[in-house]
Amino acid sequence: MLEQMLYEDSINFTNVSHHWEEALQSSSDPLLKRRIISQDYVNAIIRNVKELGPYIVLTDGVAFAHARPEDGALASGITLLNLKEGTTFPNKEKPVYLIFTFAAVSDDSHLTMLTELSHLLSNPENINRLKNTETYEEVMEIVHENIIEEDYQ
Amino acid sequence: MKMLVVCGSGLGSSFMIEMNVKEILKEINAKNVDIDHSDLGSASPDQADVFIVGKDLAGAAQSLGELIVLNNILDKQELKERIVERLEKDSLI
Repeated sequence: MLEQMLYEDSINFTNVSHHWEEALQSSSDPLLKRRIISQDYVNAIIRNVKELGPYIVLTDGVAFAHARPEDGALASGITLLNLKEGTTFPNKEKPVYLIFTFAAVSDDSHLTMLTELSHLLSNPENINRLKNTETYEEVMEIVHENIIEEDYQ
Repeated sequence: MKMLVVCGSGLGSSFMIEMNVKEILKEINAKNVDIDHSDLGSASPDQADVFIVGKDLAGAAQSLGELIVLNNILDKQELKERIVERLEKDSLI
């Protein structure tokens, strides 16, 4: 599921340093372009971080940005932004290098994808490898390997 | 015992943690434990006995009641230790 949802234009790399708000906007852009979300959705993601804290930072170096379906999700989708310079969220010391931005139209339409993503990110080695990718193909190779492992379990 | 995993939106990280808790409960053969997930805005103290949150939401979740606060929400080992510790306290395992 994760593999099918990550299009070539959903995975982006940047060497430019970003403020965390710009980074969230930038990681949402492919979803905006595909009309998977509205700008309200991006605003809700940023507002939630301001109001509730950096809870979208899942583990060192990785953020999982999302809001509620009713905040402006028009379809389901996911992107990955690889920030080579990293970005620092409020009240977080360690920078975030990978931002997955995600939208779903209902609470349960995305469960398979979340299971796969959680499996992928629960191995710190995968996070390290993803950080060092330079191309779409390299990212997809890591995603693919991990989905195969899951199937064999 | 009822446990509720809480995150900011109730569909991302809280769901990931819930899946891990379910796996752990099966592994340690814990019975009589209910687990669900929700968002901080709609969670209320009467919904569960114990609330599980990541450390970034601990402050905002304080008013819910008893909390299990996780340093790293993707760390299954940490989660397992904290769940086992809490269930042993009530002799549920």
